[in-house]
Amino acid sequence: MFGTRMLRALAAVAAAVLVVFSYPGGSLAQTAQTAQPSDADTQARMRIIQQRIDDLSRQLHELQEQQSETAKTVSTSSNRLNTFMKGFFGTLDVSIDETTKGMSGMVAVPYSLAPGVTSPTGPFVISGGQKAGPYGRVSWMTMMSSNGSNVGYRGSHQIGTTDVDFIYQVATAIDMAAAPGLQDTWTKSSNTVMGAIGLGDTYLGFQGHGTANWGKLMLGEMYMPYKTSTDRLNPFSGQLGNYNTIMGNSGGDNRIEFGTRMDHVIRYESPDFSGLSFDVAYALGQNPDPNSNLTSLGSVDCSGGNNPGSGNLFLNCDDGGFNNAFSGDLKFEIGGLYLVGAYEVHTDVNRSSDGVGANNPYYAYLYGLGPNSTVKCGGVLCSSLLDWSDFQAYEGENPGEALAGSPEYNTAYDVVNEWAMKFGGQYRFDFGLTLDYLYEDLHRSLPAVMEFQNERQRTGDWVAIEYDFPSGADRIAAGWAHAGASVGDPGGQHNYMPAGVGDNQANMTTLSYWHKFDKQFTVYADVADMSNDGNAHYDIGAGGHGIKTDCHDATHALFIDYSSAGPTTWGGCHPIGFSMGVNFKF
Amino acid sequence: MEAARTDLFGPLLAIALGAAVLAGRPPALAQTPPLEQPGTPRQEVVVTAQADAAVTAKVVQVLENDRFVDSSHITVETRNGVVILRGIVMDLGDLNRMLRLARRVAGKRRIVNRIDLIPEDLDAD
Repeated sequence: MFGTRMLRALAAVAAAVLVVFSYPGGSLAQTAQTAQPSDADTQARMRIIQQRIDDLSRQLHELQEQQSETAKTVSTSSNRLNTFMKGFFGTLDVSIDETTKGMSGMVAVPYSLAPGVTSPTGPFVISGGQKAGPYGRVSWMTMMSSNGSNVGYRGSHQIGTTDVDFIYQVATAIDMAAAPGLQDTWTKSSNTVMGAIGLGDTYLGFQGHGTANWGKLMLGEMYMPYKTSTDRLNPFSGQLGNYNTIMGNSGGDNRIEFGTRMDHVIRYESPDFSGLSFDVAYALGQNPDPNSNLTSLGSVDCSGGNNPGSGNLFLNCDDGGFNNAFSGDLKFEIGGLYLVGAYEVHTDVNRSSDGVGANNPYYAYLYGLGPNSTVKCGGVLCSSLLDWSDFQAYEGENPGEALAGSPEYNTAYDVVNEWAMKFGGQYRFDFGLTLDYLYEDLHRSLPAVMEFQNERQRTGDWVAIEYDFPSGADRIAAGWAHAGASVGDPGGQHNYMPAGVGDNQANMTTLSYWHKFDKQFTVYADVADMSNDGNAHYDIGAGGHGIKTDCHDATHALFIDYSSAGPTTWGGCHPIGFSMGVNFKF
Repeated sequence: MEAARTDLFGPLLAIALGAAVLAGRPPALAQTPPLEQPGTPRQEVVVTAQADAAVTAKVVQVLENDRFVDSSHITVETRNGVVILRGIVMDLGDLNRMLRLARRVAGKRRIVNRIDLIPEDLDAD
């Protein structure tokens, strides 16, 4: 910069000298009368000066070009930095909740089959005195929750000069309201670590672009198309009362069987065909155990979430672990209309622990027959429905612990496929109104002899209405979810009522209001109400909200065994929650 | 009846998905986005590179100028009169408003929504 100034000054001086010397004024001409130089000398001097000016101009031009080049480099670097920074994304969300499990004062009594009855459908009789009531703080409680806060980075890179981009994303969920760590408590059992890179959709892949837009292929850990295809029908994501509490949630409780993030996924997303598109994904089971009783190789939790031994059971993946999974969706979108159908199947789902500690009288009947009974149940030996061999081996080694327990179901009958399908749509009116509807069918392919405990097979419905106020700052939404009755019930609830098989429907209502202060900062208020039938135990926080507010009380035991002495589940609970929170996105 | 119905839906959907996979020829279809044909009701849509660029600029502008929509992770492209939105949003309200705004600006042009919604979901139990 200094050099330029100097050159400019010199050039100006030279130009001034040139002007002075070339000025044809009379005074100079007159004073030069005494020593009049020849015209040739003057012209020679002028040529020299002109040459110097030309040299200075050239140097000035060269310096200006160098500066311009430097500016270009700085600009390119700035663009790259900008592009890099734009790859970061995330959501920070914390809410204060006032919730209740709605189980205060509940009572429970034990039931058994009436004398001489051998049918799973009863009739039943009360077989003992009143059991203990809900333990712990199960009424209104004030809590703070992180609600699916997450950060991530995604980017793409054109491979050489091809029409293929290398794409990638790393993400994680972060805990805003508590320290990160393993989640091995009596109410939440998982080996995943909040805040660790990879606890979020994380993948690499390839994507066609330009005229070779063949779609997107991804490899990694991610949600499946069955879930992602209908995320846009769920306005309450991360909040109390979001639709995951029922939709895709086959058994109630906190885990979303058909909405879980999976490991070892190969996913393909098609391009748009005049409004039509589809996604397919396959999750490699990588499970060395034929009954899916171990964690998948390379995974820290059992397939579908939860670590081995969740719910105070034995250290197996027998509470819903599965092997391979396939998921796909078919979508159509044009104008404000969005139609979607999706299907997902999990193979070899192990739910044999559903029998342990069950309060189902028919299970008690099977247990009472013992391992050597020759009584037939639905054409097979009743004794074969329970896993007596493992239980007896454990009992032999740990008689004190196993004494209070009971065997699992036999994996030969209780390790089967589960699938789900759903279809629905959305219509988005231009004036701000959006309507959503979703129908779902969940299925567990059990043999007839085990259907009495099939709580995984039911239908579900979701309806939501949203309105975006014209200013864009405010939004309001209301939703209603319904869980249909299941085929059977393992009777895990402390207050299980066997005569009420099918009496396990649930209805949830949610209302939320959002106000945005700018493009990124939002405050919201939310209220959710889950009304469970006598044997149902759906909560209001599953699938997104940090604190679940489920139907478990605070009962706990000091050992892991066959007794299922963990938190006690209460059917017919009535969770209600009010929540206010702040949300920042970048 | 219930069992028969549920048994039927799954295979039917699987067949539909399979048919979509088999019938899909992505490159060919992707290379030929629907062009406006003279005489069709959408003939007023001008399909030129200049018109595409103008529409892209208008959509970008309306998204950037909106006080409450975060479009910082969104790219807009218009090809042969079809407006394509790509990228990610973390807020369903943003997605819906974005699509409304784009549709308002794009007029009769088709909007292709390739935006990934990243919801605040965490399935950990």
